[in-house]
Amino acid sequence: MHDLYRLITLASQIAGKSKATRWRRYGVGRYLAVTLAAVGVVVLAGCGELPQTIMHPAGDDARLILDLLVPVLWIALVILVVVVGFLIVSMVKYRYRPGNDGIPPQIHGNPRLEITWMVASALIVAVLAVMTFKTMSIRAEAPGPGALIVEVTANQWWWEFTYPELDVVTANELYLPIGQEVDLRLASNDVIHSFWFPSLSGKQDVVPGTVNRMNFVPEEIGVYPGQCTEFCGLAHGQMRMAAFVVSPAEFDRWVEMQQTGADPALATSPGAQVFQINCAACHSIRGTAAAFGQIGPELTGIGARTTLGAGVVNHTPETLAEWIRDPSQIKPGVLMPALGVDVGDVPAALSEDDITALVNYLEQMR
Amino acid sequence: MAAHGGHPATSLGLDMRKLGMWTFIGSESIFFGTLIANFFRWRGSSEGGLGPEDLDINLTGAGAFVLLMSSLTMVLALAAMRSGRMKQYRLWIASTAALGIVFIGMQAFEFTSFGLEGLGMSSSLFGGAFFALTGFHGLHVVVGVIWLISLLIFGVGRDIKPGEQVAGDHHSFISAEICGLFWHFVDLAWVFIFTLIYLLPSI
Amino acid sequence: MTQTLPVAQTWKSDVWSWITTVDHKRIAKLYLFAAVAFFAIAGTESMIMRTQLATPDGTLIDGSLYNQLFTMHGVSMIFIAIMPLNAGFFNLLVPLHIGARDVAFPRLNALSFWMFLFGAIFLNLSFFTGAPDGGWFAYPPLTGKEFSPGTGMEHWILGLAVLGTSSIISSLNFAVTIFNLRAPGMKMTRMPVFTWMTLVTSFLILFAFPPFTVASVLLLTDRIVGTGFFNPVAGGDPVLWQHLFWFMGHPEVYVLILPPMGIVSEVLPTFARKPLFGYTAVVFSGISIGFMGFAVWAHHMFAVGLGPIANGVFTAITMLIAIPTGVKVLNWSATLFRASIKITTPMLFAVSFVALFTIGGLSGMMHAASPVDMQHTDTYFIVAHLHYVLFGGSIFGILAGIYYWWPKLTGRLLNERLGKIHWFLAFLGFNITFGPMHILGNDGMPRRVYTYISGQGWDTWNLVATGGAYLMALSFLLFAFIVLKGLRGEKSAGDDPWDGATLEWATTSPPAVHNFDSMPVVGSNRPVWDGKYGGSPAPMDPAAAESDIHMPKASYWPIFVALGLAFAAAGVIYSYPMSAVGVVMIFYGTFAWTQESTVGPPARPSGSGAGH
Repeated sequence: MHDLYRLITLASQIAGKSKATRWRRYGVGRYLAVTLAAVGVVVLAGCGELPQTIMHPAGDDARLILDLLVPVLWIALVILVVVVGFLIVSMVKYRYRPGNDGIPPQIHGNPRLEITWMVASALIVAVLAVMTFKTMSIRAEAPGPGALIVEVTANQWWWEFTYPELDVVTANELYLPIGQEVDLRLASNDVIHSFWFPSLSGKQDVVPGTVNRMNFVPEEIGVYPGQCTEFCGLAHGQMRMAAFVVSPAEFDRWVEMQQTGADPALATSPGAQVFQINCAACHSIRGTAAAFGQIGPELTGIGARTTLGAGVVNHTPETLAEWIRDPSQIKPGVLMPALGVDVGDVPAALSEDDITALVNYLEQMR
Repeated sequence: MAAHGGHPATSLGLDMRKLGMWTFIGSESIFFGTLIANFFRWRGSSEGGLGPEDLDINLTGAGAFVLLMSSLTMVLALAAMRSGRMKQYRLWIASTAALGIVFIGMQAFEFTSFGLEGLGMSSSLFGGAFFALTGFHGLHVVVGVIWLISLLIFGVGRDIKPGEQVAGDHHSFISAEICGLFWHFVDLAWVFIFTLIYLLPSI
Repeated sequence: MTQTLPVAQTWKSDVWSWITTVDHKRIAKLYLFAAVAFFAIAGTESMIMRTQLATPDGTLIDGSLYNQLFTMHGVSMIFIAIMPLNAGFFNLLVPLHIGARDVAFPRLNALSFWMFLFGAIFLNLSFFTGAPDGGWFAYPPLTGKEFSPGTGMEHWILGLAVLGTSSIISSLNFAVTIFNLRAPGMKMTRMPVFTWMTLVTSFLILFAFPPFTVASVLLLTDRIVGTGFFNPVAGGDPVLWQHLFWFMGHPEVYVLILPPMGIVSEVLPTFARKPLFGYTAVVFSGISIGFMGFAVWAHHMFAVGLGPIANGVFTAITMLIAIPTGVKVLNWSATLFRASIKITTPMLFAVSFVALFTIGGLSGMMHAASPVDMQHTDTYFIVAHLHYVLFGGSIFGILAGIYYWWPKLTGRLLNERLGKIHWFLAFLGFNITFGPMHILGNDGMPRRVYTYISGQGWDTWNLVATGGAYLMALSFLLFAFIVLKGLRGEKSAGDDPWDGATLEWATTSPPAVHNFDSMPVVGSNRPVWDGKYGGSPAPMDPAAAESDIHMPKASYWPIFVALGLAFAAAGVIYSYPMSAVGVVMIFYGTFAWTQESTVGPPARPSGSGAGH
């Protein structure tokens, strides 16, 4: 910040050397610096409430990218100040003054100057290119042998995460142990989506018909929001997810919970019957008889999830009931049918008692 | 600014419409290039149906010959007009059109027989790419034939006396010449298509 | 619009004369007014979107409408606002700049306009039956039949087919005109920069649109006939679409920016009262930008997974384009050095173009580095970048051109004081709208989302951006008022209100039907300036005025054929017999066109000559 102030003051001093703007010599620099500082403060303020920002990396890939972005940003800012500064100064200094009706020197060009600044631009580009290729070569490194493999399957409009080595399937909430490299395999069931946790890594498109790869190491414990970043249809704006970077112990606990699934004692509860009849065609829960639904998100451990509908709404028993009753009220365009309300002349499949029992059942999946 | 005939003299010395046709041909070349590239992308996707190896070189080779001959007749037509031999001009234009129609007939035959053997636009990606490319080419030949026939019907060259030596920028000559340019382009496109699509697989 | 010609051809003002006009100056007006109308529609689309996004969880519109709006906003601004605005300037200026009486193919010129108009109307009619909602870039499989049932995508494909054809034909016309209709002495190296940029743009369109035509035909057959080119389930490849689309898409952005760059290259020197610094370098840069522009398309696909080698190559070439671009910016800036600057409205727009385009170019340089793009792509950072170059760039350049050439086009000056207020509101509103979007993008807000939740740190900046948008809308209302005011009153601007340098200022304002009374004499790339101050003879010699000038005759075949094409395209959606009628109209109209005589009634010199 201090360097910036000095730079601006220097610039205004240079500008001030011209007689026409002597009276503005230092004033401009000071005001400009204060304004910039204020803008900077405003921009940097609220760091804590910027959960999806790229500026506070919590993963090695995001950090690597930011380490490239910051110097590039500074170079761009310097060029900007020089160019815009020159324009503003010129508009003032070389303004037409009444009485000065003569024709200014008709300068057609200056080959030496033009070649110089072309070479200078080429040098700047070369510097940027070298920095960029360095970053690219690091990013291109394949994942190591100890990486955690996660298969990401994108659907309209939710995310499925499968840990093939751990026999875990879940949806919308990605649990990751801190410090361990993640080897992501990205596939889509329908259209093109894009997988993005800004704090952890750059984004990667998820293209149906191919499997894209990406790897990174989560470096800080926390909960990081993510979002689909390739327009994928009606509810693209509501296709969110969350990454839970936890300690290895916490991760193992979560894996075990997902692997075991539902408590067998719950199998006879009224909610379980409702689930079996109405939900199992699309959804599955590990440890229940209804482990065959492959169309909708995996619901093992849903009781512990913090949001519903792919990050659309916070998860409480009330919102879960609302969701089951009519999900399109919460997420317009969602493909899950509304089972708790009459649709046309088709009566609701679920009564309110059904919904209550179902919610009680599901809340215990943790 | 007025040269003769009410048209301005041109900076490059080239007739306006000729320059226009060359520019158009440049653009169309990219169009066909893209269709050819698309074909190469899907050559291998016959999905169990007919594939590149089933293309009949004999028939389409004959078609290529027909089209090449039609370019020759086109050149002869323009040479005839140049020296005021208008009857021969009309004869050669008619021959060009006839040869073009023969080519279209051959294409129609090929397309139909493919269709009967189960290769359609949507039966495989190979089929789609093949018909997109050859279909668009055929469309260009049809447009060319209509153009040639209209040269005859609307009597281009009616204003040329028999035996008259026609200057290179005579209005009627240019009219026929740009049709010739288009026709040669369509022929050349076929040479490329035939070589890349039909000949290459069998080498 | 009447000229006092002694006899023969005067400007008629009835509707039929406008419908059958083949005069480049009238066609320029048609393009400009139509484009402004479609710009207003596209602007309204964006105002609705900004209002929806002013607050989190907005409920003004639902996702379905929002997706249609952002799709149509993008398509419209690019194809039926900026491109036809540029075409309006091509039409007005190119013949005047090179000393010609009209373009090479006047009826083809009219055809291009009517095709554009009908294509644009057809595209907007889609709002009645479901506008396209797959984004302006229409990526399959989302835009295939399975995921986009309905006719929206057919409107997109066929509308753009008509519009693309219009552009290709227009480009052909201008390329031939520039090569072949220059006055003697008007060597290529003496042409105004604007005309050079027109030439480069024409070649960009001629070579970049055909692959897109192929792609859209293939998408159409995917949807209608059941081919599977872009359908992974059928073995097709969605990424192939992206390659073909962006092969057009990237040159397209240079199509959008090069003409306004040409405008600025004319406006800046005039109000600086010195020549453009480094004319040759500026022209050469334009040409190399056009050339290199064909080699960078996959920087729109960095996140698709092409692999590090492809990403590296496209990163390198994209960064290289910064060099000629930087040369232009530096040359424009150097034109102001030791100048005598008249701060008029067009000058304000032109200088702020340089500043705002520089900002957009620098933000673009940042994500030219593909790793950075992995964070920036598909976020509001890109939205900020593209609007700085296309609005702060293209639109501001076009506004400079409108204020600058309004007197030449109409004979009246636009109000200078109001113009300056317009500039101020536009500049302020623009930066308030799009400046914060850099921050929103860095803070993780994706594009094309119809709503967002609170607690992301996006609320304030979205509200600020919406406020800026309303300020911009206000500035455009003021502009509309200024333009309407500028359509009435005495034609008192004179031939050369700005003390200009190029040939358009050597004739009357507005020009006579035949532009120049005699062939201009050209000895440099600033013929009018050198005639006034450089000791050269004035380009126009009243004594050489010609007496037997024939202008091309008006014709109704262009609008007839254009209508036929519109029916042919629309019929694919509405009814196949309509298409058949359209095809018949195209053929019949083309035949009649080739048979009609082109020599119009004589025009006489206006007597006012030039250069006084």
